[in-house]
Amino acid sequence: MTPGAVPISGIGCICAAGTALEACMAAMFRGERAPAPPRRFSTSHAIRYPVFELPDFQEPPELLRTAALLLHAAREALADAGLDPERLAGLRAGACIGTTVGSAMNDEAFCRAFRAGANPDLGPMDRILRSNPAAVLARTFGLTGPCQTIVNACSSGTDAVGLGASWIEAGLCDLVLAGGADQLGRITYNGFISMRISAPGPCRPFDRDREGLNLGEGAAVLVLESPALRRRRGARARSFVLGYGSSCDAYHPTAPSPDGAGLERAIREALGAIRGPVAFVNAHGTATPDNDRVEGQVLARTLPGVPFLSTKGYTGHTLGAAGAIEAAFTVACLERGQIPACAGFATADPGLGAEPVREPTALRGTVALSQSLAFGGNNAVLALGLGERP
Amino acid sequence: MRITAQGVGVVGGFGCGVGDLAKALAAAPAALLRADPGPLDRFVPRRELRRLDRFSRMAALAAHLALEDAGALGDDQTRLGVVVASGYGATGTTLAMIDSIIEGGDACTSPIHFAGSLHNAPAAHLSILLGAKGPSLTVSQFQLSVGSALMAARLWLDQGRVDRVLFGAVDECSELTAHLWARRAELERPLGPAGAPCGEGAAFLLLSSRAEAAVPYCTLDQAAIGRGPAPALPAGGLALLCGGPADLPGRRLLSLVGWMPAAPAFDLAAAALLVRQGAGPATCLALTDDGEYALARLGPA
Amino acid sequence: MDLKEKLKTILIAELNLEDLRPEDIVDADPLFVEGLGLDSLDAVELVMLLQKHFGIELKSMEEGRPAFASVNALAAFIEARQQA
Repeated sequence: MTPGAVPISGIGCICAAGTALEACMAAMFRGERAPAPPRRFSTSHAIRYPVFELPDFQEPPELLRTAALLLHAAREALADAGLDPERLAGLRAGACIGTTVGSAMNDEAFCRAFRAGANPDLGPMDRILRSNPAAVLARTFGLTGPCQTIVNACSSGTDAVGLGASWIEAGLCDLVLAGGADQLGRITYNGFISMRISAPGPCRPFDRDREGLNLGEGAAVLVLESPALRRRRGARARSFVLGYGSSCDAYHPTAPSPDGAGLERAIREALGAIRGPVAFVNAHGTATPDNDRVEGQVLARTLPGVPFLSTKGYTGHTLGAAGAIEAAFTVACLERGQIPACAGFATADPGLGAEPVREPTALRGTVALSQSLAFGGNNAVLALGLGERP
Repeated sequence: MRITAQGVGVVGGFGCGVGDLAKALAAAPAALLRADPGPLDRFVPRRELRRLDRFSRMAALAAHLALEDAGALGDDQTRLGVVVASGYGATGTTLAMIDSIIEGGDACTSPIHFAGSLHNAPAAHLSILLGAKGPSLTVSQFQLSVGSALMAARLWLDQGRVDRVLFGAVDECSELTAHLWARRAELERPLGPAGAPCGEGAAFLLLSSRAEAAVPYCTLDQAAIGRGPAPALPAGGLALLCGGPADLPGRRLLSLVGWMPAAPAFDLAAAALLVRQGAGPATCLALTDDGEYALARLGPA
Repeated sequence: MDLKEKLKTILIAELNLEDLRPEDIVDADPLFVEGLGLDSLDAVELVMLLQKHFGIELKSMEEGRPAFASVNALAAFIEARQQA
């Protein structure tokens, strides 16, 4: 698919690196990261696998934490775009949001009580039922256009931005709040540990000695709008969605296809007719042995010499939010003309044929890729272009 | 862009396949049974199904039936798009995963159940079983799931991203869902319409923008979702409804299928059958408790 | 039930090998890739099952590798650990 360029006029982001996009960028360029054992929940594992948590963020009791994180990012994005939230109901506006935990019917306390033969209070389930991410945005801001919650596992955030952009192109609506959100929790934490892909220490993307991922939480929202609306408002485009590629490995429920053919197809689809250099790639880079091997090899043969990094060394793997947070970072990096170092990387892995940047690196070019690989074999890639100077 | 429904596959309390659906449409079954994914054995060897829980099996069965119905089972599915909607996801396996933690502690969390509890498990399994390497999308937003997913499927075809989409929806009445159902009914805040039985099942359609050899069921002329007043129903035409005020004119398949967030997918399947039987154009309208609507218009091929 | 019987029953039930009976599994046959044809997801489930059924805790997948060669190897591994 070669879409027309879809403007991105505002961005909001919250994760362990910062509670707003600028704060995240500043922290990353200072090389800061603080993975630590979870504080908001506990487990009985002998190893205290670190996570990238937001210990001071408190959700209101009526909403799931995921929905609250999403609202926080959405408000920043709208302010950044110069949009009054009260005015959205008068536009043809929609929401396209990715999540995994944020729509799972998995309240542990409820299930424990149910199994113990009690009739547990329905409060937690009611909270899940009213916290569907796209619906929460629609309700809060009076969005009358299409609202969709995507649950494509780890590629959800990237898919949400790409698909949201396609709605603008198709003229389904004039504005889309596109992004992703996910919260940390015991069930997910236990799940990844059981799969033996959680690192016992801070994660090391693309490093020869990488041992797995650290989970994280957060949200990001990008305001996509039609060129017509943007002109009417006189809004500045920080960036443009230039392309979106998506494919399936059809290989295994959890392991990526070793040949990386699916990812390669998605990259080529995202680049479409774009000629000219790719300035950098924000890789998925979870720091698991399998992911980084496949991704590194694909990048080496598809985009040789193009600098890349994983920002998960600063944020952890935020699951449904990851693709959106990383798209946000990609735009901010294009604006700065620089990418930060790949936190956690120290020693190159000879099996990859490529290594990420070791220090902050100046960019050449105005187009970048942000990509995600998911459980289930989804590969999703966004091509983002530098926008207009302020 | 002319988009058609080439095949329909369904499994639910009324039985499995378009034959059973047609019978049930003509004369509603006396009682709603549990959906039986057993016939999936016809399409896939047992060993290859071992990772699929009941939820994924229902989806896989309906999907294979849709492909078979379209005469497309033997085709190369490499470029097939897959779109799956589910209101509640794999609640049975989600509970099983939590059970593994309750029974054995955190260190006995089952990774197989964890992987199976992901919402996109059915889409992943379908892609592996069929060798479908095109784009894959799973959508989950309770009663709007089907309409939202259909909008996406139609858009993919319209924009030429793919030229065939295996589109469908699935929900299961697991122990957890059934419990929630019963508790909410007791509190007089039912999950579905008051008195409606809790249903489960899967309904899939093979949608296409190709000039196909086989005669399609119908065209898919529109698939829209939004929040606020729904577009008005065309007067006098066939309408299938989910949700909304009881006095809205139209047919409801509640007693045939039971209530589940994925129920509107059965409306689409039934509409396709009825349009092919000569009922004229059909509108499928789903109205949610949250003020959202999903509208699909199907036309005679 | 002896240990190998028990292991085969566990493998069939927990890995959902519903087309097999215990007598179909050959003690010396490979468990992974060939033979039973188990994969990476089965491997991590097996690690959990060792904990759940035998109280054996593996620090890494590498540690379990010798055990995963066959039912014989698995039984030997468990017996060695339980005597330690």
